[in-house]
Amino acid sequence: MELPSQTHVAPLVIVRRRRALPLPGTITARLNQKVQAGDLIGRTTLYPKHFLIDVAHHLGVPPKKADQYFRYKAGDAVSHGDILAGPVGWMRRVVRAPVGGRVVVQGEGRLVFEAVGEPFELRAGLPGVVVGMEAERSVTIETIGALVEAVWGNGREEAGVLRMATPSADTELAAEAIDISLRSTIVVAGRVARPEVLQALANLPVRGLMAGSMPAALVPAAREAHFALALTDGFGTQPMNSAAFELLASNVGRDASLNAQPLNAWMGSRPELVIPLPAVGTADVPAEGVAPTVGRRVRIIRAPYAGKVGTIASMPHEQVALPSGLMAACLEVELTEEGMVLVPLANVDILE
Amino acid sequence: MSERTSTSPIKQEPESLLAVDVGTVSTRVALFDVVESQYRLLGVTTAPTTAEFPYLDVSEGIHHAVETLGVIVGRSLLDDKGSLMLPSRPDGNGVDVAVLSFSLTADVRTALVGLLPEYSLRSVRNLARSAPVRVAAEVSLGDRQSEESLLDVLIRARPDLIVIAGGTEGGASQALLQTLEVVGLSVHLFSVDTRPQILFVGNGEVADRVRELLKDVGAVYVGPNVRPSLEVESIDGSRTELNHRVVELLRSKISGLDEPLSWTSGALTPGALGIGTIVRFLGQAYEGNKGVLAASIGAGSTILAASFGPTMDLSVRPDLNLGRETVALLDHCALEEIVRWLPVDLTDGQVRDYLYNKALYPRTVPATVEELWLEQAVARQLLRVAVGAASPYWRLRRARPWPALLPPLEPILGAGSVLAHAPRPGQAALMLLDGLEPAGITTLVLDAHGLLPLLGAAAHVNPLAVVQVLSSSSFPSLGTVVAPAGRARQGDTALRYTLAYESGRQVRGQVLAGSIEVLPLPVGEKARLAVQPSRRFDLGLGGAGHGGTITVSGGLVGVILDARGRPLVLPTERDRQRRAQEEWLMQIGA
Repeated sequence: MELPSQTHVAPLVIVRRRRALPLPGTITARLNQKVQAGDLIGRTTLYPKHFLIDVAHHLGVPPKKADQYFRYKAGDAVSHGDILAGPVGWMRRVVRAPVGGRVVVQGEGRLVFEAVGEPFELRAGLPGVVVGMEAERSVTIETIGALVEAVWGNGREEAGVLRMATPSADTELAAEAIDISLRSTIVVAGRVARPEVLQALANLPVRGLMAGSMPAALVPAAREAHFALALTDGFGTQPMNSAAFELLASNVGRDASLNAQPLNAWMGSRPELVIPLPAVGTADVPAEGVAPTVGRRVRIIRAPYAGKVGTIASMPHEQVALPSGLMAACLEVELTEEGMVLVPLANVDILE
Repeated sequence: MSERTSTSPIKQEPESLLAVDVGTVSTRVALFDVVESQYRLLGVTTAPTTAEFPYLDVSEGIHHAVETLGVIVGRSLLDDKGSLMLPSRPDGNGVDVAVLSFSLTADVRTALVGLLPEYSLRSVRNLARSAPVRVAAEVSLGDRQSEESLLDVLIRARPDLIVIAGGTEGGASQALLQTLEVVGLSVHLFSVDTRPQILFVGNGEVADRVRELLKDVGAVYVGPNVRPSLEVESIDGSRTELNHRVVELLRSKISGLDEPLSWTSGALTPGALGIGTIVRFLGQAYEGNKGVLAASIGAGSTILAASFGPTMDLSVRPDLNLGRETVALLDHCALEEIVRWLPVDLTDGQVRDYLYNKALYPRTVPATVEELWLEQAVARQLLRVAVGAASPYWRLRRARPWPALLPPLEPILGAGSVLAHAPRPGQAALMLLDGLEPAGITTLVLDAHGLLPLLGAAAHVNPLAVVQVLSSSSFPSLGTVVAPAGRARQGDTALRYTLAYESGRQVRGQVLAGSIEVLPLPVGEKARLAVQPSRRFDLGLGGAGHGGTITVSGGLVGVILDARGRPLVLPTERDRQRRAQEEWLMQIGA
């Protein structure tokens, strides 16, 4: 039996997320610390520029002799203009740091100097408790709440109050429906179809947009947007899957964190929206690798029923001929409006 | 990890052989055994590859596939503990030998370093095209950048692998060693756990000094010089080494290979190399002046392997696939170049949405007719882009008869699910004809079960099995193709033919320019085809207007007379494009 992919649309689960620096740096959070989505938990510098300095040449001494004039050890931080080596001779020749930075490596009359790079700050991304740390690299944060996973994100992350902007999962968000009440919120819409809608949302501005779909032609504009944008179902005109829409609708007015990170199938990270909730009863970590069984809820991810949610009614043993002529292992899925339909196993996603 | 080479002694011809290929989306396993003195494919099946989250362990998918295969062939392959029964038991269960191929493609960021852009950098770039790597940076002394800039370029690229070429064999080494200092410094600046591997494929005389210079910063591997002299490029030896380095890097990221490697005594064949092995073998086996081409369209990469006698050229394009990189096709062509292959009226937006959705959901299959045409249109364009980039570098034995077209080929093997699982064989044939545009007379063969990488892995342990399976029904012919080069006005006679069946029956006719005609000839049958092109068309039988009589073999489609002309020119208007595609699909029986 093939194992279909899986999407979590869960009203109350334990969400545990590793937040990592892109390069080694400093972790500022502490174990068991309570954090808010916007809290700083680590920092590093990106892509520092390097200088290869021929110290021996500048000092006018043989390479082997130059090493005795080095003023710093590898790893030492220095400021702009600090003397890195020297002085030598009656001219008191010296080599100065071209900018602020640190000495990386030195020897045989040469020195590699690393300028301070572009600062990068790592935020918590979601409110919770720090439950794990990896020195210089990452923090693991845990929270309890609702989780809605998406399939595409524009790479940004934001937190804000959740607001519904369309009455149903298949309604297109119109520019006229965007008003001041949506300002600084995370907006939920069935689907988006026009670039002016993204512009209107940017003008408000909103913190984020969670939609079922949008045309792929809007990808460049979505990537340029200064708010987080995630799609739950894909590209085109398909509705938001009803499971996600209903769960989001039932949490209107709550604080939510939208992490519109790109999908990474290897690591299992995908765009997602987390709504922290007070822990009532018990919550579990979402199950992974769930097998399809009769009665399980699935989302259809490809035409002709893309975006529809139904339940598995039966699992035929034989391969079935599809309208395309292909033979494929199929599931019989019961949909609310269409009734019983046959869908290739490869074209469903288990909702958990 | 090691690969058995063709020079390794083969102790005995094992009987049953289990071949496993771990692909990007699917893991394929096949069982071969001797039936009536011939090796045959007893069964083949696939299971989803379990390399990605949440499994992160390819052995799950392998076990699943092997277990299913056991049910299909009615033989237990795994014991009670789930281990492969190796060798086979007296009761017939288990297998005698296992081979493992690895076709899974993941993002292997690679930096290329050369001395001169027009020599060593060009050769190392050609080398990189033969393995599933993503080139993240290229640097050479010819860039006239400062050493600091080179350092920063390498660091920003964050490579998994740095491939360095430079220096002719026995030539000067000073400039090369200076460049290597910068490379070594850049690697030193990475944290220990992110340091890239280094593959040196330059002047062999300084290999030991390179190892010595870089030994403190990371793993250094050495392959044969890709540019032994200014006039000669030689990437064959380093291609094997590069593919192994890539697999080794992926192994460090993917768990679950240890157990299957214990079945094969550590032998593992990179999938693309396996396809290349088979094509090289066929290139040597087929007599005549034509070459052999295998074209595989996969979820991880598009692979082209071409052999013209003793040489084999391999092109592996992880940026061209029917998986998570489907959208990247738009980096190489305009959307209209995909749309033109559609026999249905879809908007540019629908086609673009399809590409993006396919990248999100690479395992999905087209359920509707429109989506099937879309997938096949993308396959055509993937082939066109891949072959357009690769074919200028093929090492031919003689000049191309038609400079703008592919050299004469016999046969052309098509592989990959989109071809092998096409609902009608005519669809697979038309994808190959449109994607590759072969000219002259050739045969299209389908790798119906995705066996090429598996047989490539098996070639080193059981060449007899490979030879016998290659000539079996596991590789059905789609048919002989007669596709003259040239153009004429639509509706003019392009060629006249007489097909004489073995039964004595004869069929005569003519094919009009711009159309395709299929003459029925079932698999396994032969016939004599007398063909006479008009003076505007050239079949490669002595020049334009020259015909001849040839023996043709049957296939799933038949004898395909493709008189659309070469180069193939499509109408420019959308409506006419669509009608042309509809007609050609009808004419080829798709």
